[in-house]
Amino acid sequence: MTHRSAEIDRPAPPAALEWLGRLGPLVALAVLVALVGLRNPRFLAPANLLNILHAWSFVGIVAVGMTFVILQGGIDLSVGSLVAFAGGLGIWLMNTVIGADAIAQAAQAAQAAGLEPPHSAIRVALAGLFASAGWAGSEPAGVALALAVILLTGLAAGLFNGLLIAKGRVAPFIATLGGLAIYRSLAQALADGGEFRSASFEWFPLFGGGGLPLPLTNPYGKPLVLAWPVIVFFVVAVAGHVLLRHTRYGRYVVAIGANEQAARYSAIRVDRVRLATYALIGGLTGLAALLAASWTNSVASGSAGLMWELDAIAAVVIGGTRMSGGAGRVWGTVVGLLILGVIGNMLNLLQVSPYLQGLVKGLIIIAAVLMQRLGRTD
Amino acid sequence: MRTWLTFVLVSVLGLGLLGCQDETTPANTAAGARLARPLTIGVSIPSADHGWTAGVGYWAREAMKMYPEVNWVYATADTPHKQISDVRDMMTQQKLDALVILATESAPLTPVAKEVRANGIYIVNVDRGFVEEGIADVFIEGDNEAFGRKSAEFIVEKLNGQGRLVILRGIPCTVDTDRFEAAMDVFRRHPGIEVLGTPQPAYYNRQKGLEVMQAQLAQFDDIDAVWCQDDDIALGAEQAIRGAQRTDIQWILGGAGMKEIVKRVMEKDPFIPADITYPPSMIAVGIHMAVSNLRDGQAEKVGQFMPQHIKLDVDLITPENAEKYYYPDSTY
Repeated sequence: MTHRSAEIDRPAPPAALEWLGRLGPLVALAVLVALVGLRNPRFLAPANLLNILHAWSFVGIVAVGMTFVILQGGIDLSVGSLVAFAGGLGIWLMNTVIGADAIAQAAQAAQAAGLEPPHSAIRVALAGLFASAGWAGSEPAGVALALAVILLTGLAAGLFNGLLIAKGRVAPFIATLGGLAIYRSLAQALADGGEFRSASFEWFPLFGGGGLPLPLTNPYGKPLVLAWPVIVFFVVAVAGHVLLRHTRYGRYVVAIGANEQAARYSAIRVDRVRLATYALIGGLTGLAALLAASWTNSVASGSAGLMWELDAIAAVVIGGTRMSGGAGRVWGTVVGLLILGVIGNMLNLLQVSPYLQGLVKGLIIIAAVLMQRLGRTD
Repeated sequence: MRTWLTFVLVSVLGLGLLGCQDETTPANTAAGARLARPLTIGVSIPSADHGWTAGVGYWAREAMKMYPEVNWVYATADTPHKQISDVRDMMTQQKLDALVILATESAPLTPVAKEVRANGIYIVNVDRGFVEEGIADVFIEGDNEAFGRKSAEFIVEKLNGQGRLVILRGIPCTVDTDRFEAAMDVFRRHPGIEVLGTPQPAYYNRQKGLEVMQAQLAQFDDIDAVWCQDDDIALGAEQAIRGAQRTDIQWILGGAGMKEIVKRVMEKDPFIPADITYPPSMIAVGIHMAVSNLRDGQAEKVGQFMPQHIKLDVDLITPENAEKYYYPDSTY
C-alpha cells in the first residue's frame, strides 16, 4: 500500500535494481531480435521490420489507450468490434455521398417498376440530403465525411462506455463486453453481413497505404515507405507517454488505479477522469479504425478488428503494466506490442506451422504475466 | 530482474527448438534439376475454421508435396488482417516468384494483392476474387451462382413446387450472398415454396448449424425441408432435428461434397437425398497452375493462351453419380 501511494506522489527514479527490472520487456525484445536476426539475417531487412511496424501500428494505437484504461483499473473489450463499426459506418456514408445520384435513381426506378427498393429508406433519405447539400458524387466530400464520422463514432462510443461505467456503475468488463457484441452486430447489420467496399479509389486509401518515401528498396527493387499509420502510432505513443508522466490527468489515472478510495478522498474527480479515459481509448480506436479501413480500402464486417482488444491487452500486459491497474508505462506497451509483432513475423519466417503460432503467442503472454507476479515479491 | 532473465532463457530455448524445425522445411535441393531455376512460391489460405477450409489445407499440402523442388512458403490466416501480414511477410522474407492465394475476404486483400503485383510476382487467385480487375494472372473460382441455382432447383423439384422451407446461411461474405441470391431468384419464381422467417447465418459450422436450427425448430411447425448450403451446417441441423424428434422434416440439403455426406447420398439415405459439389481441391488446381505456368521461365508465352478467369462448374450429387465424387482419403 505504502509502496503504491509512494509511486503516485513521487514517480521519481526508483532504485537502480528496479529500473533494471522495468527494462525487462526491452531486454526480452532485444534478445528476441538478436536471436532471430542471427538465425535468419533476412529478418533484419528494412522491408521486413517495416512490415512488422505497419501490421501492428493499428493495434498499437488502440493499445496506447488501453494502457490508460488498464492503469486506472478498467478494461475495454469493445475496441475490436468498434473498429469494424466505426470504419464501416464511415465507408457506408462515404459511399452514400459518392453514389448519391445512383441511389436516388435506383430507388425511383424500383418504385416505378413496383419492385422492392434496393436501398433502405434511411440511405435514400441521406442520399437526398447529401445531394441537396451539393455533395453528390464528390469524392473529397465523401472522404471528409468518412474521416469525421469514423473519428467521432470512436469518440462517442468511448464516451458511452465511460458514462455506463462512471455514472451507471456498470463493471467495465460487462459494459464493454456489451459493446463488443453490439458494435460487431451493428457493423454486420449495416453491411448485411458482407464487406463495406469503399467507392473512393483515389483519396480514401491514402491515409493507411501511403507514407514518407525512404531511400531504401525492397527485394524487388521497389522503393520503401514509412507508412502513415506507423508515424501516427509513434506520435500517439510519445503523446501518451507525456500525458501519463507529465500531466495531472496522468497522475490521476495512476492514482485511481492504485487506490480508488484514496483518490476520491484526495479530491480527485474520479468519474470525470474515468470518463475521459474511456473517451481517450474510444477516440484512439476511431483513429485506428480510420487508418485500417483506409489501408484495406474496405471493412470486413465480420472480421475487421477481430480480437484486437485481446492483442491490445496482451501488449499492455507484456509491457509490464499491472492488470489490476496503478502501475505501468506507455513505452512498455510499445515494447510489448513489438514483441508480439516480432513473434508473429519470426514464426512466419521460420515457417512454423500456422496452427502452432497461437500456442507460442499464448505462452509468451502467460510467461510475461507470471513473471510480473513473481517479480513483485522480489 | 531474475524473472526476466528466466524469460530470456525460455525465449532462447524456444528459439532453439524452432530452429530445429526450420531445418526440416523443404529447400531447393538437387531435385531442382527439373526446373530452369528453383522457384519460390507462397501459398496463403484461410485457417481451418470449418470442414471446407480444412479440405483446402489438405489439398494445398498435397499439391505442394508434388513439387518438392519448389521452395514453398505456406501460411494460414484466420482474419484478413493476419493474411495481409502473412503475404507481406513472405514477400519480404523470401523473393517470391508466385503467390497462390485464397482470400479470407475479397475486398481487404485487394490492396495488398496490388502491391504483390507491383513487385512483379505472379498471382493465382482461388475462390474469392479481388474486387478490382486485372490483379490476378489467373483467377479460379467455383460457380457460386450455379451452386445456389442448382440447389434451389433441386429443392423445388423434390418438393413438387409446394412446401415450407427453412434456409440456413453461411459465413456472411460474397460466396454466401451469391449463392443465396441465386437461390432466392429461383424460389421467387415458385410461389408455392414458402421460405420461413429471415434466414440466419450458421457460419459453415456444425455447432452453429445445431444452434440456429434449434431456434428455427422452436419457431416453426410443419417444416418440409431445410437448405443448409454446407455439409457441416447440415450435420449440425440434422442433430437438432433428431434431438427435437421432429418428424415433419423429411430431408435436408447441404453442399460442398463432404465425404461422409457423399457416402450417405451413395447409400440412398432418404434424409440426405443429394449434395452439391464445391471442391476444396480447387486450391490444388491453383498451385499446380502456378508451378506449371512458371517452370522453364515461359510464363509470358503461357500467358498468351492461359485463360485469366476459370469458373469451375458445380454438380448435383445424386445416388446415381455419387461414387464419382467420393474421395475416401481426403480429410473432407
